[in-house]
Amino acid sequence: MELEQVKAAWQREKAMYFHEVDPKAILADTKQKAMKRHRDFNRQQITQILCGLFCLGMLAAEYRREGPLLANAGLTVMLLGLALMLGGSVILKYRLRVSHPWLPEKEFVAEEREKIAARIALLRRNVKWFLIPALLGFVAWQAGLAHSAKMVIALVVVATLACAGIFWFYRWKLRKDLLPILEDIDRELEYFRNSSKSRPE
Amino acid sequence: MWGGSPEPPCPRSGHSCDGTAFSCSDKKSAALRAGRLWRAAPHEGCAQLHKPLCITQIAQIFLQADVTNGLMLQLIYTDKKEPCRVIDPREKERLFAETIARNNRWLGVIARNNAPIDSWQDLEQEIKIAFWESLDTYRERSSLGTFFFSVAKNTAKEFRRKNHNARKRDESFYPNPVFVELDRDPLRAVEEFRATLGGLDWQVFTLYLDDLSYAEMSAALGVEEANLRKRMSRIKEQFKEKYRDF
Repeated sequence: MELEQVKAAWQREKAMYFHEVDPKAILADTKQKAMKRHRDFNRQQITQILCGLFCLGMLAAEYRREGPLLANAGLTVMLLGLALMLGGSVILKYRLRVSHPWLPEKEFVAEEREKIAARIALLRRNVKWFLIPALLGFVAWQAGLAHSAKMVIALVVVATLACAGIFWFYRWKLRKDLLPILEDIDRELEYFRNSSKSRPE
Repeated sequence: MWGGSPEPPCPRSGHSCDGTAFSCSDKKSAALRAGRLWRAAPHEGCAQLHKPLCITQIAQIFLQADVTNGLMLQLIYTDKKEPCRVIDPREKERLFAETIARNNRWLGVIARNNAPIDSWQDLEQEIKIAFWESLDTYRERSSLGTFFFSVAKNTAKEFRRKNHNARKRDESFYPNPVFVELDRDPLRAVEEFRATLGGLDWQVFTLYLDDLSYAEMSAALGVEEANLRKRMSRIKEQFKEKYRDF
């Protein structure tokens, strides 16, 4: 295959995709898409918040003042853990939504790094401080309700499996999604640092 | 509009703004309205620079609202150190249309340079949306063209990073995609070949395919022409070597 042949194919493809369009049409299209994006984001966030609140409400309805202390404490810990996870993820999404692409390249990349680092920190924090306590709370809650020993063992197994599944998903997300981007950004920042060092004063 | 012509009078009281406080006689309702509108339509630049806003800060905002349709036309935060503005919607539309019309060719070059063939339009759209949203923060410290390129370049980089990572992740799920019928497709060859190139070589190769002269490439990439010629001849050799049998 010749390079000229490839170049001609590229030009044909380019001509197919890009042609002169009326700037007013572009403007209308861009405005519409920007608004749609905002609407979709808000809708998604509101759905997530409402679903989360609904689930928390359903769980909170299980609270019995006269119930066993262990069950109430377990339920409270679980609710608290889940609420903090929900709150953390909603707040982070709003924070990450803001972007400043007009900044100088180096500052923009640094900002991108902060965003990825915040997402990684959220995942780690969720697993370490909220998820495991929430599942322990779940086990305590069910154990406190004086089920049979078999039932409690089954619940512990289910909770462990759920914890392992979520933990695996978080690890996969970190390894495949976030860490490669972070490494890429770090390489770029390193390049900026080196090029600024090698630049004569 | 900003820093030149006098501010139009308050639609309620008819007084004009002295730049330090509300000129509207009904200060309380104006402050409340300012707070409400601020929350409803936060200006990214302001939110970044001055958040969180307390009530005294809100009270320093001079607001002009189109009372008839309830839309905010102009919001000026009267901080003397770092004045910022929400650009007039009609002015914003004019600037957007003009910049896009003037830089349409370069927009295409940036899109082709940073996205695979099937995502050119997506990236182009991303850049346009990012530019549209960024225009609110344009403060005339640089030319609009420079501002546009800054936005385009950063958006393209972000897109490329995310896209590249998503593709790599998908490939780990579907390790052997079947492209038997596309084996001899020149565009697929371009994609394959570009993926083997480093950052700058990728860009040089794409600009070459875009039929840019070495002088234009040099201006776009900030690399000397001689260097570009050497790189390009090396890339051509690599390409020949790789696709000799096709």
